[in-house]
Amino acid sequence: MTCEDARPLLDAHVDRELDLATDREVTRHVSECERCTREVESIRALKKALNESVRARAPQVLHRRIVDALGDSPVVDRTRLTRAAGWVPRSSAIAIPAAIAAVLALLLVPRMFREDQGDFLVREVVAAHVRSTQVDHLTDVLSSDRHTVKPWFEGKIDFSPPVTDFQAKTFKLVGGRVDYLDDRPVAALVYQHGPHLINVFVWPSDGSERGPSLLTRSGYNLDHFSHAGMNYWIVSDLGVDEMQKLAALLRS
Amino acid sequence: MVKQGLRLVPAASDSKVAAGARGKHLTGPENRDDFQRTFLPYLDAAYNLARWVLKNEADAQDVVQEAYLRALRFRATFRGGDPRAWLLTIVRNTAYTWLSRNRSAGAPVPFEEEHHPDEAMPVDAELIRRADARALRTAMEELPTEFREIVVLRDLEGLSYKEIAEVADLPIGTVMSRLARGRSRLKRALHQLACSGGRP
Repeated sequence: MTCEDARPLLDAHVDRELDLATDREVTRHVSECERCTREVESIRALKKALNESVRARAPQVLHRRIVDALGDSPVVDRTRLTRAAGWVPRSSAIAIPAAIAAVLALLLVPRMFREDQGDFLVREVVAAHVRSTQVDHLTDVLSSDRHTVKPWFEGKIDFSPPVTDFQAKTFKLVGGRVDYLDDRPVAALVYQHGPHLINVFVWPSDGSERGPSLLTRSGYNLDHFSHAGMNYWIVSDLGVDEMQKLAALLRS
Repeated sequence: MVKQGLRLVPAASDSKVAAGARGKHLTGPENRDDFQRTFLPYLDAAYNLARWVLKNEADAQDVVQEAYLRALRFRATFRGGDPRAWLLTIVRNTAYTWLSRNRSAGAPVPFEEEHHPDEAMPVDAELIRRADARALRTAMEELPTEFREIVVLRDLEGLSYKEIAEVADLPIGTVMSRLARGRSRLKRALHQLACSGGRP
């Protein structure tokens, strides 16, 4: 092996990443070549120096922050809900007092549970909106052309969301992405109105029509309705009037 | 008409992952404790990578937190394998998305390696051994990001070339050449720092 052949392999040789045959040839060359011997030594010295004095360690406060953030995350809350739901029937088999309690629980829990789930979904929608604006994963397909955005969803989700650009009505279609809400992948359509970004989450409904219901959470306005076989959740820092305008456009 | 910067994370960690998660509910046996047990041990690795990609401690903390939340969200798509490599892929993608949003100049640019031949004589190993931590950090900060991240993954985190190829989404040959190039630049930077009395 010539020096020219060996030189590009010296780093991989030091890292023990070469196959046995090549490594043997490099070793033989290095033993005969002063330049390559020096190079190998300097690579070893550099690796050691970097490892000893450059590695950054996570501050304790970050550990705390992440444990807290993971605890607050809605995805985790869902597993808690599931476990609670599974617990109720088991307890009913233990004893009569327990059975009575369980009957009461069964009467009460579904109601609480439904509210919890609704509230949980609201939090999930807000979290998805905040995430999409915080870190730049607002859109996977960036286009104001609905003929680009709509086909993009094909094969990524098991339904075809209605995609319309309302630029003429000052709601500009920016793009779309796949998000995950209510235990399923959903289409997220991103609109822009002036400086405001709007996420419209769409997924198939059970077929029932539901009129718009507006609510505010963490400073964001949300609007939820079911129309033409789809659930819609609109979320933005947009004013209530504008939210209703967009809802009307989506329902038209 | 998809912007380069926007593709980086969504392609690797969101749309692909979300597509993989299709139909798979997140209510399996895995829960928060399992997730923490599996991934929190790699917090130092995650932070170290983010710190060196972003070159800023506060930003690195934000990015790592975001990456953990994403990892939790898409944990259904983690199907065994090395949890560290899986987590670091998400950390790297999150960091680059952050860069493309906040500092357009920091994003990786295509690099034509043949135009930078290394004909210089090897830097003396003794000079490298004498380099202090400050000089090493300065040299690292001056290294272009696409080399720096590979050096971090290999020399600070000890990943194999194959694992680095997965995390950085590069062919193994590119990992190998970037690592060699990156180390070579570091050595020359240390040499220059030594000659100029520690000032860059």
